[in-house]
Amino acid sequence: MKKLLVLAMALTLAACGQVPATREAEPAAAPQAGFPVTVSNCGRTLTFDKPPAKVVTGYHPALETLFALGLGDRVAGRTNFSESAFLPGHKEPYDRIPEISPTIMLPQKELMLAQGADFVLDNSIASFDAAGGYATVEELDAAGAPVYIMGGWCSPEAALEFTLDDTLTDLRNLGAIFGVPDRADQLINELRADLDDVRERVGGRPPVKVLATDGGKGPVNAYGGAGVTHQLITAAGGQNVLADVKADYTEVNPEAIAAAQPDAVVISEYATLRGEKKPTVAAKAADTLSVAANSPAAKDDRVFALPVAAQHPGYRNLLAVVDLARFLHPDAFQR
Amino acid sequence: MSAQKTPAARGNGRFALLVAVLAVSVVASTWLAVSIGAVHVALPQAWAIVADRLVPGLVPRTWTPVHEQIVWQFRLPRALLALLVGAGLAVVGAVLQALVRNPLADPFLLGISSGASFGAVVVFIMGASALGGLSLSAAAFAGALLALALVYVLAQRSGRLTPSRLVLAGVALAYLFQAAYSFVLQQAQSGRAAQQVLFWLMGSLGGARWEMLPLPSVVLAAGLTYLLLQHRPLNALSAGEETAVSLGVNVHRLRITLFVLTSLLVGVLVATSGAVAFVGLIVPHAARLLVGADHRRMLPVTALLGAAFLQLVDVAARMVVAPQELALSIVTALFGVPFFLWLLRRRSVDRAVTVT
Repeated sequence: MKKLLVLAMALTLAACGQVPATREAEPAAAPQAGFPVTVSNCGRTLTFDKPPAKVVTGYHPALETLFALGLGDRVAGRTNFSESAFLPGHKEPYDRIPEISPTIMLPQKELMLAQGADFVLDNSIASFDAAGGYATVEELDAAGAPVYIMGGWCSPEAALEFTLDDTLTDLRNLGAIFGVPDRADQLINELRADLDDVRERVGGRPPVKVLATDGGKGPVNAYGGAGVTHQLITAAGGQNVLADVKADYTEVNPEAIAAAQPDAVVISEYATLRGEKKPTVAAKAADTLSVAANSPAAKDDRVFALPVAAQHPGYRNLLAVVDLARFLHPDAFQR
Repeated sequence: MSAQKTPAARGNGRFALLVAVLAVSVVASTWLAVSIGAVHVALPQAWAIVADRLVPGLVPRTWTPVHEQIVWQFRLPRALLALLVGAGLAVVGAVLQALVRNPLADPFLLGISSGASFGAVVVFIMGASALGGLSLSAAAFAGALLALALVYVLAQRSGRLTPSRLVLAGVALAYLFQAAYSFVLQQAQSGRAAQQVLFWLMGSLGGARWEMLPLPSVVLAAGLTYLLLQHRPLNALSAGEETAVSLGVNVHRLRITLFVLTSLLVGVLVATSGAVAFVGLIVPHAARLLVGADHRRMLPVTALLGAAFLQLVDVAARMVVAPQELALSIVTALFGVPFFLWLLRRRSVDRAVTVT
């Protein structure tokens, strides 16, 4: 037992000492142009004298967003992601970054503080809840690792106010924080162009009635008219049949689902256990369509698997809009 | 009617009236439960749908398939399941209060529901394949059986069950199973899965379907019949072991039978609806306050009261934030506690549990 403990400690120390070899060869002292940078996030003001070089990311969409900005080499530690497929080209850089947590959550407080990070990026305040054993935003800030929370998910209530513009704002803020505003602007312009293209293509078409669920025969675990999923559906030329329910993820009476008459069903895709490769879309879709048995969606068996990572703030949101639009309005993308 | 009637006869009349009133309440609450819901279905239509199913061709079909699905596939089985679960949990609570001679006893005391919850959580988080393809309710029932066996082994000593050992073994195992399912829950990679589990643990009839009804019906009918036949030994047991023995009751065998019977009932009910709190605790006390502790009267009143109560609770759970749903345990406490406190203040509870 004692031997095991010593071994575990040695391993932990080794992991801690693993300073990424990828650190930028920056000019030593000279302050970088454009710095200090100040951004506001969740009611706090974050000031950066130089671009962060030792970043820790929480739930995977945070890392994806940095990859999209070409900032993967700044990341010194990341969480595990095995619930669904990687975005194209993301698996390789992901594998190169040390895994500091085997779950989708940041590691526990001590391990987290021991990372010596100079910036922490995540998309939920739950990752910084002292009651869960996590380092708080204040503690990390005091340790020199300011926390940026994506998508304005500062509280459960705030998460209901999410819009896709929040994702673009995050990209702009991260571009500023890392001293790559031009790269960020270019990406934002590309993504905006994609969104505009979707809007143009689906614009004149009647919206497709969409029911988004996470399975459940009763109550049905469904997505109401607030939050990321609702915004994705709306932007993709869909009409959320539960738009009147003022909630994001909630329990809905099967009657309401049966009467909603969706044309298409969107099912959250993820594995519930770490390391599990099996998303459960088929079973959840079967449950949902058995409740909405008389709907056009059931007759046409029209199901779209939406990775749950895309239902959290991050770069993937904007990609999901395009995918979802192609599914809802295939004709609009023929030309 | 006449002034010459004995007090017992007058009591019988009052009891018959009470049972009639409760039976009407059960029917009325069920009528309400089928009539209203998250989706508006016109009243005559709702009942025409039921009538058409019972006697095909009785009424002209004027409804949509969706309304038929809502009334026949969702509302009616759900209303019937509410009756079964409400009656079952209340009766189990009453029997356990007598078995362990403790007014705080409820169906979850002996760890059975924690075992059921453990089985359900494993399937929720790890998928059906984790337990050899068992469905959620089958896994919950398997968990209940496992807990039953463990509690029995731990609580008995050379074939005898004593109330204190039963309670201690049950409570200890409940903690163990709670720790086990909390562990599985913590391993969950998704907040969504955790939220689903928590909702289920607090009880819901939202998943009610026709195919879920036969098993609880049979078990409840058989259990209730047996308990009513055994009302004398039950009365003796709740008065104390010495009394029971002096009355010729085989206390050890009765305790084992009651333990297995109530555990099976809890397992079946929790497997269909999750752990609905509070019904099994307060309804038996309410029944005793109404008709006294004699199980011959108290058990039928407990069953009817439990059925009507849970029916109304489920209607509230469906309607208060419609089309969203509340977990049943929230509503049982919200409506049950004030009512129970009012009852407590009105009547003396000194004679609760034991027959005086």
